[in-house]
Amino acid sequence: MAKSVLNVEPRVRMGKGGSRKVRREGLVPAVVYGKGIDPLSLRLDPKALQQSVATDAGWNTLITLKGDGPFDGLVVILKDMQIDAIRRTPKHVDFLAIDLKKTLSVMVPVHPVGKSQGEVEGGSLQLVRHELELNCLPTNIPTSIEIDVTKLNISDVVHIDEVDLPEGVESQHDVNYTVLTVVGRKAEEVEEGAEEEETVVAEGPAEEE
Amino acid sequence: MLMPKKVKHRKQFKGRMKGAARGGTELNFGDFGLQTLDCGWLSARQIEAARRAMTRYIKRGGQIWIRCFPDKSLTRKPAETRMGKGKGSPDSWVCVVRPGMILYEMQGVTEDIAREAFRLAAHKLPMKTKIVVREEAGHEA
Repeated sequence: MAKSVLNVEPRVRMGKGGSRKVRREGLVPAVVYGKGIDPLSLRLDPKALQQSVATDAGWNTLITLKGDGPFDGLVVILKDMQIDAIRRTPKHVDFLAIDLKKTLSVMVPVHPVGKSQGEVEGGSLQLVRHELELNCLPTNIPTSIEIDVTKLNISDVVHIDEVDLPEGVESQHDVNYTVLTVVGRKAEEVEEGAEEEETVVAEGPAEEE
Repeated sequence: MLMPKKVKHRKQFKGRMKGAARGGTELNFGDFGLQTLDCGWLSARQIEAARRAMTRYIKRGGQIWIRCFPDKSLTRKPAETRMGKGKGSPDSWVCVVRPGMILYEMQGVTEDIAREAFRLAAHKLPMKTKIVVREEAGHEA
């Protein structure tokens, strides 16, 4: 469980005009909300935010807000961050005030461990889900879910039901979806094959005219 | 080359490209991506040329996703034709690209290989691009 402290200031002027003014000052507009509290508008230094989530837990770091206002001492988690598509800088940040005694739903990254048998034979490991949605106590959030892939052969699949989750961590899912798989053909078969096989046309964004 | 299977209208207006991309700006499939920094039309030939450049370089090491699709038809009049007599016939297909859009994604290769493959692909494209890498971090669902 990673913890950090973040200094924030209250934001008086709301709306896009206020937010733009905050951004012109080199700060980032933010909001904190949660069960039992009224939404509070904040502004913060983007570098301080970056430092506060630069832990093993990343976005799942428990952040304690500090500053002049009713938000002082509030424990929050990073809920959402709007990022400028080109500059990759934060445009707006959402914090969720959490109760340390109640479970919450978090996204935890998946880390494959080892090199699979299929990769040795010429296949490649494909992470279908980079993150898993898990329910656990805020104090019990795993930094990552590690999956041992050393025994996987080509065309082997790991489903969510087969993933070992730490104690106190649950995954709620209706469908037993695929987490990762080893794709490709064996090295001997490759020589004759065309090079075009591995390209997929993703169902990308619909660009409206 | 990529083109729609079926379209509602064969001929389209030129349209205007204004502002940044509203969607398709994040990595959704792979660990590395090629992002545009300019707007423009990306022809089906250019998409295919860039894909081939990447595929040849990475050989069979990884997987590539194409995030752009040429769904806009361009028309052209035949050579040595007088003006008028209506709009020309459909000639080629393009994808309207706005700054920030991820064009390709890649997974299953090292960062060095991905960067070189994207560099080769970027030479086939008519706009400035940059390479983006997935940040490994979880977040609240």
